Amino acid sequence: VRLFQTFFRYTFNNVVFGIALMAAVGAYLAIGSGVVSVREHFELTDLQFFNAWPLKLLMLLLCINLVTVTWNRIPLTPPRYGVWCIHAGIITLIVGTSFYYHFKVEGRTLIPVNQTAVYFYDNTDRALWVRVMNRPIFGVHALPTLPRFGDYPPEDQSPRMSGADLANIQRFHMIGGQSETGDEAAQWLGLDKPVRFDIVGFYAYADVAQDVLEDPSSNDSGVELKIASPHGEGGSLILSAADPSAAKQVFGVTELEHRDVSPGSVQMIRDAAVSMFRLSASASGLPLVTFTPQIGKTENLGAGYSVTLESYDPAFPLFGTHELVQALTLRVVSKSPAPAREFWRMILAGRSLQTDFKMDPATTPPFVKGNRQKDPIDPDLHLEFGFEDVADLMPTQGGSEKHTLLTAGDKTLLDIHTSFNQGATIQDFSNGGQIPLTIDGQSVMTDVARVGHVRITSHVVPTPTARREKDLGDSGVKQAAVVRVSCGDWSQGVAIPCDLYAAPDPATQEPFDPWSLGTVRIPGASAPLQLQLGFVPLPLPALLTLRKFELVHYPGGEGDNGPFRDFRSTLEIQDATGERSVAVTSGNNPIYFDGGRYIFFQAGYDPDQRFTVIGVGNRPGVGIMIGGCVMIISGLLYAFYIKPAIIRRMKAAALERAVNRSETQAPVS
Amino acid sequence: MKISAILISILLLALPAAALADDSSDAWADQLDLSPLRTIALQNNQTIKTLDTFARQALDQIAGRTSIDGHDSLYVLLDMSFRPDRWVHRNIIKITNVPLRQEFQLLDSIDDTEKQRILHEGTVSLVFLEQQDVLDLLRDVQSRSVAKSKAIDQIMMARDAMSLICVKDAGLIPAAIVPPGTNNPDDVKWHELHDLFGNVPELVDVIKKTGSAPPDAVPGYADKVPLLSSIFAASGGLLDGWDKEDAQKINRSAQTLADVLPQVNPEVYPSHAKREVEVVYNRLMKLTIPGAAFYVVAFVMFAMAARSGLAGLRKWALRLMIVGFAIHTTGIGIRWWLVGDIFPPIKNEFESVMFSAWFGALIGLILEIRWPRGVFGAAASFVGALALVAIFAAPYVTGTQIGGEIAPVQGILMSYWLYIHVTMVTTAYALIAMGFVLSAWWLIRYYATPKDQRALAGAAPDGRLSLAALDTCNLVVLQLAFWVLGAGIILGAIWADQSWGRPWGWDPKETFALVTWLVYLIVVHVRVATPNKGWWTAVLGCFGFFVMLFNWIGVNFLLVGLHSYA
Repeated sequence: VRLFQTFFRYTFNNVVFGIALMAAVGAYLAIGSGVVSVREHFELTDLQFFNAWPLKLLMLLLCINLVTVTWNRIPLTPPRYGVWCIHAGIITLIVGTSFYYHFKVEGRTLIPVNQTAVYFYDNTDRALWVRVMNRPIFGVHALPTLPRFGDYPPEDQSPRMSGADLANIQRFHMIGGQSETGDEAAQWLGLDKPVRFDIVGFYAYADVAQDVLEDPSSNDSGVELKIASPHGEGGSLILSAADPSAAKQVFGVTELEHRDVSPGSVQMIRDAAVSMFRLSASASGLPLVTFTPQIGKTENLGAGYSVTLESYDPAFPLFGTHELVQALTLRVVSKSPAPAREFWRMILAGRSLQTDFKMDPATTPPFVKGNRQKDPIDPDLHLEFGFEDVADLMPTQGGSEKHTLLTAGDKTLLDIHTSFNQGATIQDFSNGGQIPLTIDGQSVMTDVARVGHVRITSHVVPTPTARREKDLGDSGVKQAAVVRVSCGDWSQGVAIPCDLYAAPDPATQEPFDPWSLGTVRIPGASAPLQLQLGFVPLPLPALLTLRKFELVHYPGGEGDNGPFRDFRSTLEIQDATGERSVAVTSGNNPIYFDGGRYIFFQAGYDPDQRFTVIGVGNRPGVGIMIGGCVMIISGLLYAFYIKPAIIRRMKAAALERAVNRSETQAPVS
Repeated sequence: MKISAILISILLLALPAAALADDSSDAWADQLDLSPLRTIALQNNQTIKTLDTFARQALDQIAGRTSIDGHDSLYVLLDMSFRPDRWVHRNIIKITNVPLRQEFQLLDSIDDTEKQRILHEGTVSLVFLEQQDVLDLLRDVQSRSVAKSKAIDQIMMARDAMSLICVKDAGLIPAAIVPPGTNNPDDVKWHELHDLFGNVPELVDVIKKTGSAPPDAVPGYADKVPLLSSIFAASGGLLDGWDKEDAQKINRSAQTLADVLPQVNPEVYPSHAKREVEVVYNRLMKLTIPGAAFYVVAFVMFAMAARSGLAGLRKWALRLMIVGFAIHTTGIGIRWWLVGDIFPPIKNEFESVMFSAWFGALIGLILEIRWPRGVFGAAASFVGALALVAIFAAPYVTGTQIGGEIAPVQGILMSYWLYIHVTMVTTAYALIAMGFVLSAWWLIRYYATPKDQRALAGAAPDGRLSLAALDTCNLVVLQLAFWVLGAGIILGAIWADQSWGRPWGWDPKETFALVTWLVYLIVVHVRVATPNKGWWTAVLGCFGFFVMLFNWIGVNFLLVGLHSYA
């Protein structure tokens, strides 16, 4: 008992011990915040470091010390009210803070304009995302023990990579779309053996590179391009549809894509190619004529009509709305009924509008103002133009032409060449062929040949420290992991990059940022799988639809040049009961939802104003913390400025009492 | 459209003068009076400023200084614009990053002497930075190192700034000097002269004669054609005068420009007084050094007064400090007026230090008048002087801008919570700095006093300051710092809750503010726990100051966080 009393006297009942605790807390905070390498060594984020047991222990000891010392040594008298108030405030604040960090959830979500977000992403916890290619099946598995700051190559087998959540992953939490078969990857793929995933490597800042190789053991086909550079040295490139990220390539204005199809569907694609453009003409006394237009080619429609395609504009801005539509300009010659007429007509894809222009020999399309006629010159003739690219053969990545290289069966290789100006031409490359590619500004004929056995693998390339950018590193987008995928005796390592906002949009079933790389084909599976490192998705407390996003400039500012005066997101919020409301969040102006339990705030922006990034957080115990703060500050003011006055008054009173006493006592003595 | 055609037409408008000067020296420049041009307003970087300010900023960005060959920045700017040939080959673009200078050793197209020169002087020419092999080299460096990449961005910005002045519209003032034509709220863009060729019929005619298509007229200036004509004529006169080195003509044209430009839109154009004040404000180093000078003298006199107990000396020190404080106040007031915002200007390091020192000085003055000992005055004027010298010197010493130039900031910094939070925290910092002065003073006195007399330090013989009195003064300041800092941190948390979605996120700045606060929390407690209160208070007062200094300055440079602007 005496030992305990001594211990108690020198610790909990001792101001110096309390001071030592304060100093220790200060040192802990300073190290955690100032010497980043310490917490990175323990793979802790700042939030985790300041929520770890040593600080909690120090805080607990400090609270006990505070209570004991206050109770034993500070009498609860008017001059001491301030100190009591401060100490009570500090304990309230510590309790509030512990409560806050215990229940705090913090994340962000990206919402494109006019789309709805269902999930938000935790700010720190990562997850393994998986999807079945070309089907709306997305699954996610949280990886709370995944490291964050160091590089852990698979061969090191670091103990930091031994968390239970990183090994033998078989079940996934389903996201968005539906799967009738449950939550195991093996079931999605129609495999009878389980598929397991092990996270075996992690890199804090790296790129994932793809390798496309010839491998006799694989049955995937591809197309090899032997590229001769104008400077002499050449190279080889294999495109393969086995992985979407290996299927496409762009050279200057030329897009290339490999596709592997069943022999039966080759004819369908051929048909789709030749009938992409359809022009139909009707006039009184004329049968409906449909044909494929080609620039410069004249078609006789009969009844004295002939049309020649003069120009094609893939993106004609509609007057007023500026909507971009495909437009054809044709030279029309009509001999009957007399008089013979010759004029230009412009028609728009999928619209029946007929716009005629008077011929002016000095000009060619596009036309000068004034020649445009209010009413059609020949109201009898009705031309309609349709464009239908059912097989996605036209350029889509900003190029002006595209070669779709089609493999089918064991031998066939077709080149379907499409361009907006000339429609489609088809060549058989089964025995090899050549296409012109623009390389270093020069047109070079490139050999194209079929490759029967292609395997696609990937590897991680860690970025050297000097090339790491702080902001990019902090965002988490440069993280990469290596996953070992196994099924029965088969297994393969897959390097996967990070997608910050990996969940699919509910409407399109595609993520805003398309997943890249990370594909794996398990033998016997009905479809390839794609894997991605991402963040843990959490359901939003309300559905958020972005109605409008604005960047507000200062006077004289333009485009994406900052600084900006403000970022403003107009959100439609649909709560659990289905009730909708519209609210605006901008810098410093969060939206308080559900009586202030959640806030939505402006957390990022897109210079092109296509999307916004909204921060989402709950606010557990904020009231308690504010209460503690108010007590501390009012206590401080009391102790510093009211207490001296009280003491002065007490002294004066005591003095007066003493004087009175001595006066009353005087006659006696 | 060829720029030469335009220039010829401008010369036609200007009615060329007769004499052709072929004196190649710059003696004629001595007769120049560019003062009317200094105060013309323009829009640049989303800010309305004077041409004088713009020229100084541009030259500082390009060459890292504000005068060349003894000519001031406005002359250099105009000479670059009117006679670019004299400048494009000169080595005036400054590379401050020394490791980057070394990269040029790899270049084949320059000899060793040149390589050594670049290494030592760190300057290159505009033409050099447009060479293909140089660009290739820089691109390669950029892909290797993020740190050097930032340095390259900086010299590329300097290059672009210079080529805009030297090459783009050689012959015209290279800035948006014509205010918008209407007072429509959407019409806020100022225009450069070359935007407005299509608005002046005489110019349109000349352009048509050269066979080019004239540009479209910018809307909003329909009733301002005569004004625009005379602006172009004056601008042409300026160019012509420069070409012929005719100072009289330049002076006349400059005066005309300065007279006519405001008439284009008098409601939008800043007042003459405001523009004049801006020029003077810049000339006087933003009133930092003038204020600091008075504070320094006041500090010395206060310290001597406290040491000697001479009341007369203290009185004079107080007067000087009040003058310094008045200059300091004027500096803040002018800046507030120039920024033209209803909120006080405390949005970057320059402004926050300026404000912090001001609050410190104000509190010091009040305390000094209430308790006339010379102690508070000395501490406050020392802090005031140090702060003002620091913000003046920081860009030259560190090579980074701290916000001395008026420019817009990210809108997130526009919140009343910000003003309260920053004001309180920076005030606390100023008080901590004052506490440091008093603590250091106490420690020096303590160790200078023989051991056996320290105990008697409570007595104050011959009116001189005693250790105990100094300790009391120190405690007053530190207590003030302690609760103001606490309140500032809490208000910051309230702002963060709104702006970043959480009140406390362990950002380095907020964590170290808390550590600083803990130091003063310990100060309060050592006074009840130890017998040698004064010593502990003084030691911790010094220690806390360094923690605060690390937080204010060190964190910005060493640790990156959300507070990197403060």
